[in-house]
Amino acid sequence: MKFGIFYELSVPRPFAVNERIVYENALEQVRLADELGFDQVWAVEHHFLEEYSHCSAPELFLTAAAMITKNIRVGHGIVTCVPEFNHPVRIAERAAVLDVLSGGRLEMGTGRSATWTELGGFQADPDTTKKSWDEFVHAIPKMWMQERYQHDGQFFSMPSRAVLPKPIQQPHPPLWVAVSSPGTEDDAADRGLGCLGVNFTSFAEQERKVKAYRHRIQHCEPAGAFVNDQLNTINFLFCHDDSEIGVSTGRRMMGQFQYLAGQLDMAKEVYPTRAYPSAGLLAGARRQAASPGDVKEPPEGIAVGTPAQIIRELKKWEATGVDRVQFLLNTVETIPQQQVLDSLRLFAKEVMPHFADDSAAEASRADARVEYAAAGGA
Amino acid sequence: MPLFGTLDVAAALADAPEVGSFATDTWELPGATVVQVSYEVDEDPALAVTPPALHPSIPPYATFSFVHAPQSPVGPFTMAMVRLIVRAGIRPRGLLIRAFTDNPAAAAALRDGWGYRIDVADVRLSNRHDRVVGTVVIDGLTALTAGLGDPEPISGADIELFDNLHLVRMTDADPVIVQIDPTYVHRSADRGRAELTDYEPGLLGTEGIVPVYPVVAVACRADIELAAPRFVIDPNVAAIQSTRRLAAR
Repeated sequence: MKFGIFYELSVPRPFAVNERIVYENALEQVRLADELGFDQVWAVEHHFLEEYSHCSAPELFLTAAAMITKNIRVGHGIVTCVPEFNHPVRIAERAAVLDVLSGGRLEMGTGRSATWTELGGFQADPDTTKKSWDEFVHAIPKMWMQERYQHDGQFFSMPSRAVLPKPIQQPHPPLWVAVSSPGTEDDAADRGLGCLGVNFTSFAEQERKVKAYRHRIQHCEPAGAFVNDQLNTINFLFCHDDSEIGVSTGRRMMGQFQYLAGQLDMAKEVYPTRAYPSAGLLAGARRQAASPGDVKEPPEGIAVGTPAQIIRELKKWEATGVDRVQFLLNTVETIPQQQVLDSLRLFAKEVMPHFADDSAAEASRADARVEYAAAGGA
Repeated sequence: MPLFGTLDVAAALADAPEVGSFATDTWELPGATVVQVSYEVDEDPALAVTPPALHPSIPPYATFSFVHAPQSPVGPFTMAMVRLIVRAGIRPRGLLIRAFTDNPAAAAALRDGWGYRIDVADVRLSNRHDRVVGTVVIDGLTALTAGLGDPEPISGADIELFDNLHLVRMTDADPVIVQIDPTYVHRSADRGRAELTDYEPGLLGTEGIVPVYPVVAVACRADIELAAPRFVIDPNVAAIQSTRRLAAR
């Protein structure tokens, strides 16, 4: 199992003072994570989400991250595949630039937004976001792979043009989709996309979803040139030698995150539509926020506490078949920066060695991509 | 932390309903029609009518709602409500700004038992196949016309009608915000275009609600059960800290 870090870039008020602090702290964390051997850094695309996420131009943040790191892969996602937010050509162009500048380290996450705050802000139709996502996710890999690309679709059309630059990774960077609504894991499997789980669920439910995904993806029709059959999940991280400090600090961060998430107008809540069958991230967040919990024991599955406690919880994730775990390190700077850095160091020293290095499997996946494309895949 | 409301609670209590006890008999309202019209609203005035216990939603929005109950313990009534959607902790709630009903007995019972800030007015709900429209006429002047245009059927499970929050004075206790949480058994539901054709905040007493952008309208036919309140909040202390359950009857 591999580990990464994940950014919403949540900023406490007053924004004018704190925006720069949050961005600079995050970049310092990314630099350290790279040195410590973390595998990926992801940054979301969100708009208008006061305090909760000020990460509206993730490709810029990730470019800065790529410039100060050597090995860590840069996860651009999720990018909102809704025409009112992004033209698909601009998505393909920006992502390719990031792949070029990072030396071929891009992971491409796709999604459709789950809040009325964002969908309403761009005057997007919540009923059609799944359809536009589908059209975009099939088009973008072709924009990268074909010398010129033309398209006549429901959500965009264009005459033949060369979409440039082309990404370094061949045939193209790995594709992912964010999964928060029930059924999106099936969408991921059917299209041969990696599953970026952004909801918090039980281990039993996770294991069931992993099995279903693994089975279903074997019969997929890939949206891109190869199948990305990995499962990635989001978690919180605060690692400390003292259990009480580790758990209570981690809980405080989680509580802040969930409280801020709870202020957002979710699409399901505001605008009734079958396209958003659940409240997305919020449903899990509300359950977690309602649980007071034991100050010395981490909540089930959450990576807060001592190295031993964290190993115990992550082993459960590993047993469900999840390939990667991405960690949120802070929320509205609840935890002082030095403690965040110390937590990363302790995790890398005491926890990481307990999880298998699957670099051989990753190399095998890369070979499979090239073979699949050479054989005429997609 | 998210923003908190800035309402001057002491001043607002001056004309808030007074309730002796929330030990209220449950009302069954079979076959009721509900229309809820949502509009985003101006942020600053909305914050000024939100008690310090509550957060604004992001972005803030209001609902203009009508309920027609053909049967109730006090006979048929039609009620209109102007509510601001807020957060009590992380839970979305409809903070009642003003309500009106055509049935004086309903007004008295809803005010005394559940703390509705409600007055008698000419309130009507017209239910047609191309639109559902509610009106409030006060002293012969149209104060509110809101409705749903071009209805399309949806599932009742997909709509959120929001529990109410009412700021009330208690006869023998400190003032509270009381949560009203009716249950709905849906028979049918529609979604459509939000329409607000008349809105006179001066007549309605809803000056803090300034609609700026239509969101959506929903209508449903449902059996409603309006039970005694279960939760109250201290208006001046964050709901996440001050929400408490009322003693069972």
